[in-house]
Amino acid sequence: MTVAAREVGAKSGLARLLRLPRTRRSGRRQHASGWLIALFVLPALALYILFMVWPFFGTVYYSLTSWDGFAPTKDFIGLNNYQVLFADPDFWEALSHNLIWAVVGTAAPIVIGLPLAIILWSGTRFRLVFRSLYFVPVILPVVVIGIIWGWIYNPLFGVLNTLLETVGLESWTRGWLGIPDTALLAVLATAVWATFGLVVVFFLAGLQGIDLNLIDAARVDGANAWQRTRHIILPGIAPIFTFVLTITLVGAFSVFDIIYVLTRGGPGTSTEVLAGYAYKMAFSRNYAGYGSAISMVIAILSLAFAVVLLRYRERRRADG
Amino acid sequence: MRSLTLNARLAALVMVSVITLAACGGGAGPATPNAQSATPESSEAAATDGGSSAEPGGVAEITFLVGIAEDPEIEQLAQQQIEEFNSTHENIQVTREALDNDQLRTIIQTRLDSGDVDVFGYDTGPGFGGVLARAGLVADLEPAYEEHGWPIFDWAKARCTYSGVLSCIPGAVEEVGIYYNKTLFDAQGFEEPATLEEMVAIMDAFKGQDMVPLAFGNQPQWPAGHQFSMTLSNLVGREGLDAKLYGESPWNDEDTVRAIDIYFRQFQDAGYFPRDPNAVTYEDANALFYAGEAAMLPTGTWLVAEITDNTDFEVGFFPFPAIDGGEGVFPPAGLGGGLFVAEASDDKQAAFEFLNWLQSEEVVREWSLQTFNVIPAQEIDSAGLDVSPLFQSVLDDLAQSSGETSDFGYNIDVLTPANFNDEMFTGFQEVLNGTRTPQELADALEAAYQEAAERGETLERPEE
Repeated sequence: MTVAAREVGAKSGLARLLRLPRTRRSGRRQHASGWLIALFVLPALALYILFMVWPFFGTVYYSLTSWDGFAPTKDFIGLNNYQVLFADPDFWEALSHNLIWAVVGTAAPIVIGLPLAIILWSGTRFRLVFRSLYFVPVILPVVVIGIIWGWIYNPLFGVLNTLLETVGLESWTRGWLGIPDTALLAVLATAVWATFGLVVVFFLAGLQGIDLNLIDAARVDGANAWQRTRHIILPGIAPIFTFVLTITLVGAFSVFDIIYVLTRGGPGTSTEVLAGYAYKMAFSRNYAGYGSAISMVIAILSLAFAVVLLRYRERRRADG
Repeated sequence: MRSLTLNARLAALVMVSVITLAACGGGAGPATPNAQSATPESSEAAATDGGSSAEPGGVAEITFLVGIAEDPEIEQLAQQQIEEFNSTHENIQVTREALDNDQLRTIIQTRLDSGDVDVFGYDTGPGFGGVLARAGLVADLEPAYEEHGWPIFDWAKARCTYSGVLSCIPGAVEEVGIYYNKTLFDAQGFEEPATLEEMVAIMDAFKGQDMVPLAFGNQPQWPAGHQFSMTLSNLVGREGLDAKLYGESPWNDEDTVRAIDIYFRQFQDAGYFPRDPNAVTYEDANALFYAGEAAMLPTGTWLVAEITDNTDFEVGFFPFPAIDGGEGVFPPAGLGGGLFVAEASDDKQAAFEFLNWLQSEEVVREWSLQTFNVIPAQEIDSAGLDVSPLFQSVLDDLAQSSGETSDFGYNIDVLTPANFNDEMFTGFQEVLNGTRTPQELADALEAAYQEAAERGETLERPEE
C-alpha cells in the first residue's frame, strides 16, 4: 500500500485535510495526498452545497418572508409565518396524519419485515426468490405503485371489492380512497406494501452478522426459539433496528408522493400531510413563504427524531 | 512554506465555494431586472424592431411550454401541428415542451425567470396569469395585437388583461354542460330536460334500471368546480355571478348554499352518482359513459373529440336545466386558458410570429376546429367544416357567445383565485362525504374570497 493510499484511508474529511500532520519522511507526498483527497471530496461537497445546503438555507430565508413564489420582491416578516402556522387548524390536522403515519408506517413494516427476514435467514428454500419478490415493490416507481393500488381500491372495478363480494362480505365494499374513515389507512397500507421489502433486506443484512455458533450454543443450552430471538438475534441486529426505525420515522414526516398520486390529500383533507400541505400552500395557493415555514417544521421534526434515535443507539452501544 | 501551502489550499477552497455559490445564485437570488421590467416599451420594441436574437438569416429557436393533453392521440397531433409550423417557417423553429399541469405550476416561475421559455400556455385567472403579470414575468401583447390585428372578442381580451395590460391570447372557449346517451334517451322516450324536475325524473328512471344516472367522478377534485358552476350560474344568472366575482355580493348567501346543496347533497343522497364519487377518477367516470353504463356525463366541451372517438351511440349535449326560483339557463362558458409570451424571452418577435400563425384563419379551421375540436375566442366561419355532429351542435351553441356573452354563466374556477379554488375542491368532497354542510362550505368560500381580495388576486370589474 502506498503512503498516499494509507493517508487516504487514515484521514478523511475536509477538516482533517486542512490539518494534515507532516512527517519528516514524506512531506511532499502528504501534500500530494492532501490534494488527492480534495480532488475526490470537493466535487461531492460542491454538489452537496449546491443541492442540499444552499436550498436549505434558501428555505429558511423564504420561511421568514411573505413571498408569493412569483414576485421579484420578498418582504421580510420575521417569524410571522410560524406564528400563523401554530394557530392554523389545517396544519395541526396534517401533523396528526403524519403522526398516525409515523406510528403505523413504522411499526407495520417492522412487524411484517422482521419475522420474514428471520424466516429467510434461518434457511428457507427459494430464499433468493422470496427475497427478490419482497423487494420488487421497492424498485417500482411511486406513480406505478399508485396506479396499481388505485386499481385495487377502485370502487367500480377494484380487485379488493370484487374479492370481498366473492367471499360474501359485500357490505364491506366501498370506495376505499374516497371515504375519510378509510382513505388514510388505505394509503398507509399501500406505503407499507411498498416499503416492507426494503426492511426485510436490511434485517437480512443485519442477521448475516450474527455468529451462528452463538445460536448453536444457545440451542445446546436449551434455549427455545423465542429465547434465542430475544437474547441473541434482536441484540445482534439492534443497530439495524435503529437504522430502520430512523429511516421509516424520517420518511413518515416527509411523505408526499404516494399520497399525492392516490388521493391528493383528499377526500377533503383526510389524507393531507405536512409535505402535501406545504406543496399546496407554496404552489397552489401562492404562499411560498408559508409553505417554506411548513417545510422547516418537517425538517426540524425529522431531525429531532433522527437525533434522538441515533443518541439512543450510541448510548446503548456505550452501555455494551 | 507551511503557511503558503495552507493558504494555497484555502484559496482553492474559497474559489470552489465562490464558484458553487455563484452557480446557486440564479435559483434563489432576487429576480433579475429583466424579469421585473414588463413594460409596454420593451414588448413594443420587440414587436416593431424585429426583436429576435437570431442573427440575420439565422434561425430563431422558440420554446413553447404547455400542459400535456389528457389524450395521447391529441398530444401527438399537437406535436404534428408544431412540426407543420417548423416546416413552413425556415427562420423560426419551435420546440414544444408538454408538462403535467401540476408540474407546470411548480416550475413556471423559475422557467420564466431563467429566460428559457418563450411562449407558454397557462390559466388566465387572476390567481394564475394575473400573478405572473404582476410579477413582471409576461410580456405586454398590445403591440403585437395592433401589429397583427388578431380578431379576438373583446370580452375574451378582458380576461387576458391584468392591471390594464393585455397579456395573453385567449385560448379555447369552453362550455360546461351535460352529455347524454341520445340513443338511450330516444329509446326510452326522454327528451333533453328543460327544468331540474324533469332532469330528476329522468335520473330516477335510470336509477331504477340499475344504471348510473350521472357519471360524476370527483377523485381529482376539480370536476366538482364545474358542477357547482352549472347550478350557481342558473340560480343567480350572469349578473349575479358578476357581482360575486367582482366582490359586490357575498359567496355565502342563500343561492350559493342552495347551489351546493342541490348538486352535492341532494344528488348524492338520491344516488344519482356512481358509488363514492370521491373515489372515482375523471377518466373512470368518462369510461362509465362510454361503456353505456351511465346515461349522462357532466363535463365540458373540451371532451368532444374524445367522446366522439369512444362512443358507438349517438351523443347529445344540453345545458344544466333551469332551477325553480333561479334566473334561468346560463351554461357556464369561458376561456380554457391562454397563450402568453415570457417577458424574458430573447425572441419576442419570433414568438409573436408563432402566435400569429396559430391565430391565422387556416390554422384555426384546420387545427383548432377540425382536428382538436376546440373553439377559439373569435369569429368563426364554420361553413364547410368536416366535424362530428356533436361538435357541430356545440359549435352552434357556443356561436352565440360571439362578442356577446350575457346568455352564458361562468366556469367559476377559471376566474377565482387559487385559495378559493382549493377551498372549493376540498370542500365539495367534504359535502359529498357529509362531513361539511353547504352553509359551512359557503362561509369558507366567502372567507377565502376576502383573503384573496386583500392580496389583489380577485377580478376587477372592467370599466364601461
